[in-house]
Amino acid sequence: MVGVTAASTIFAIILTSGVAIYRSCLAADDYSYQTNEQMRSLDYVSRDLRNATAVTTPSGGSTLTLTMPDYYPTRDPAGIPTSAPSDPVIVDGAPVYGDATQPVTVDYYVSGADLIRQQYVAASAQTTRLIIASEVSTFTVSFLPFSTVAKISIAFAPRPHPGITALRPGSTITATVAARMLRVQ
Amino acid sequence: MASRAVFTPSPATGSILPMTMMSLAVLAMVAAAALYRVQPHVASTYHSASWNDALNSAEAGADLALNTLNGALTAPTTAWAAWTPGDATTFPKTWVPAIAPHIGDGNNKVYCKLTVDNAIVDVNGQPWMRVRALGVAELPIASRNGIESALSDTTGHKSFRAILRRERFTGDLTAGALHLPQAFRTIEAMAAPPGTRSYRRALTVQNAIVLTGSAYADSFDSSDSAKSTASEYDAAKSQANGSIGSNSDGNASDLHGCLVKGDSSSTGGAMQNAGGVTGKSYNNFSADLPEIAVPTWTSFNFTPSAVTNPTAPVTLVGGPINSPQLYRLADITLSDAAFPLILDTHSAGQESYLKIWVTGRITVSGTGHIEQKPGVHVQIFVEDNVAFSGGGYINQTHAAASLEIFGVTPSSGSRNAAYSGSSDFIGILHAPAFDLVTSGSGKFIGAAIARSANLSSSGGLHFDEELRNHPFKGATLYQYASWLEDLH
Repeated sequence: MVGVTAASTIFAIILTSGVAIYRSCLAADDYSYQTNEQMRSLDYVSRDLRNATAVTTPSGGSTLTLTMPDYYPTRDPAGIPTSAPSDPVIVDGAPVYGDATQPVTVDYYVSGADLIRQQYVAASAQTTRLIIASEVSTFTVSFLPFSTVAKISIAFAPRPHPGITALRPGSTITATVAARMLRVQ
Repeated sequence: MASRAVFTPSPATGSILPMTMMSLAVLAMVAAAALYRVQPHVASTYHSASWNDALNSAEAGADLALNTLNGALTAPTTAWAAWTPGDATTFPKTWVPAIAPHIGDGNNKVYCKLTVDNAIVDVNGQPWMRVRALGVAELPIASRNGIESALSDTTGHKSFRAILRRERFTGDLTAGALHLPQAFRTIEAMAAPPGTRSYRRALTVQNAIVLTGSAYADSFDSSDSAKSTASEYDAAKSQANGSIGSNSDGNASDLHGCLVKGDSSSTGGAMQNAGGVTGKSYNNFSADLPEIAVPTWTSFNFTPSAVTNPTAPVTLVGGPINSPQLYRLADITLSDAAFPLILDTHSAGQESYLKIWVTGRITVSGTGHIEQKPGVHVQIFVEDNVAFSGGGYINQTHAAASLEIFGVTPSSGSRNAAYSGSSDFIGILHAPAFDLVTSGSGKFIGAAIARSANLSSSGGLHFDEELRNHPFKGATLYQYASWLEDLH
């Protein structure tokens, strides 16, 4: 009798610990996964904002359209540069990279739960759409008043797991980025 | 004989230990599996931090390069001492500045390598400096555990080449200064030589801008027939680069709804009643407005020594570009159409250059006027107030770049520059210590730099975009004109 009680207690503790460890691991995984998704999203958008010569945020701010010079003479089929930037030409007191009439356009928007980076290279009429992050619920960009500094806000939904219904609210990350090319041109 | 109970262990009793061990093993495997999943994400987060450290390093390097470029303007033989080569004229140059390590989680060492070359030249033959700054940071994870997973496109195709934060596991970029693996980023920035970007907009002032009445600003391009007619301003071809900028709080400026075909920029605040601005409004504006120094000529034409209400036309003759004629006048005062000041060529049909240093005022009123003949290029340095009215200044070259009026910065206080009447002014007013006032119906064609501006002229302010190729030789600083993060 004593042995059965002790064994039951031990198994109960092990079971409880197992569930706790499982949930903790899921939480740790979610945290690290989403932190990674969040940082990648910000890194992508920030990098493109700094290089852009024109920035458009349509009403509502859920789509970000960036125009930038076609800095590179060659790209692979995925639109990724395969060579160093071309030499700029000084036109009207400003460096001009590539063909000014054929810029690169980059759009960021949310499709389903994915944050998409769509790149259109006019010179080669090439469009690519990369999934930057998943579990994204909203994406907004707005410029600080009268400024070339943009504020980015991306909200992530919590990751669903079977059997776990009590989801906490998702996390929202924000960043402010100086659009450097807007500033210097 | 007393009997003694003998305890015989049950074979089943010992099963608890192996069961416990097995359970712990299962739990350990669950934990290990979870850690196996989590660890790359955590490492990738550190990876992102290192990647951003690399950018900080590259940006710091670009700033150091600009500092050296500006230092070389005043100390060309010593400014490049840390660079290789360290002389004043040989390019490209490289430098690995020491960047202090930082404290924190993950990596703590960064590296920067700078390269400066002068291979890019503008239309005037002036070399622009291309700065390439490589920033490198160590990745705190020594294996590929931290590698970022491949990104998918919307068709499901995965590519590691699409990874933004590429890591480097072989080929040390730092010659042993940092360990592998490394995150790296490169910035390429073009530094414009001093003065090449002085005339980027219609109006640049230190203090407030006030537009009233029917004042307006737009632009044209005298070098482009689609944007001008016979190289002159044509309202039908008006362009939208007539931007205005103030180094002061925008709240001090009031545009009264006047049309500005271009951007309006200030330093903080917001320009008042800016509904007529067709472009964007910024308030993080800053323009370098260096003082205009008094000329230090010791050799010049001694006659005339002044042009004060002459009783006959006065003609100042220029010289060839390598021998411009210099005049120093106590003042210019004109009021009679019959006795103008004429700025003429040294030889008919030749381009001619002259510089005039006016130690006092310029006052043109009534029917008096200054007449600049075709082919003449004029620079006027004036130390006191300027007032054009009536006949004004007749620039027969019709090119704004051919006339530069420099308002000398006084040792204290400010000066005034007024343009009124019905005649057009074609030229550059570069007077950062002068308060500019325009009125009447004459056009102001060119560009203006002033201490403040109060414009009410119905003729408008028309920026000649061709002036963006016109350097101001009194500027003293390089400035970045482009900023690219290289991804290849």
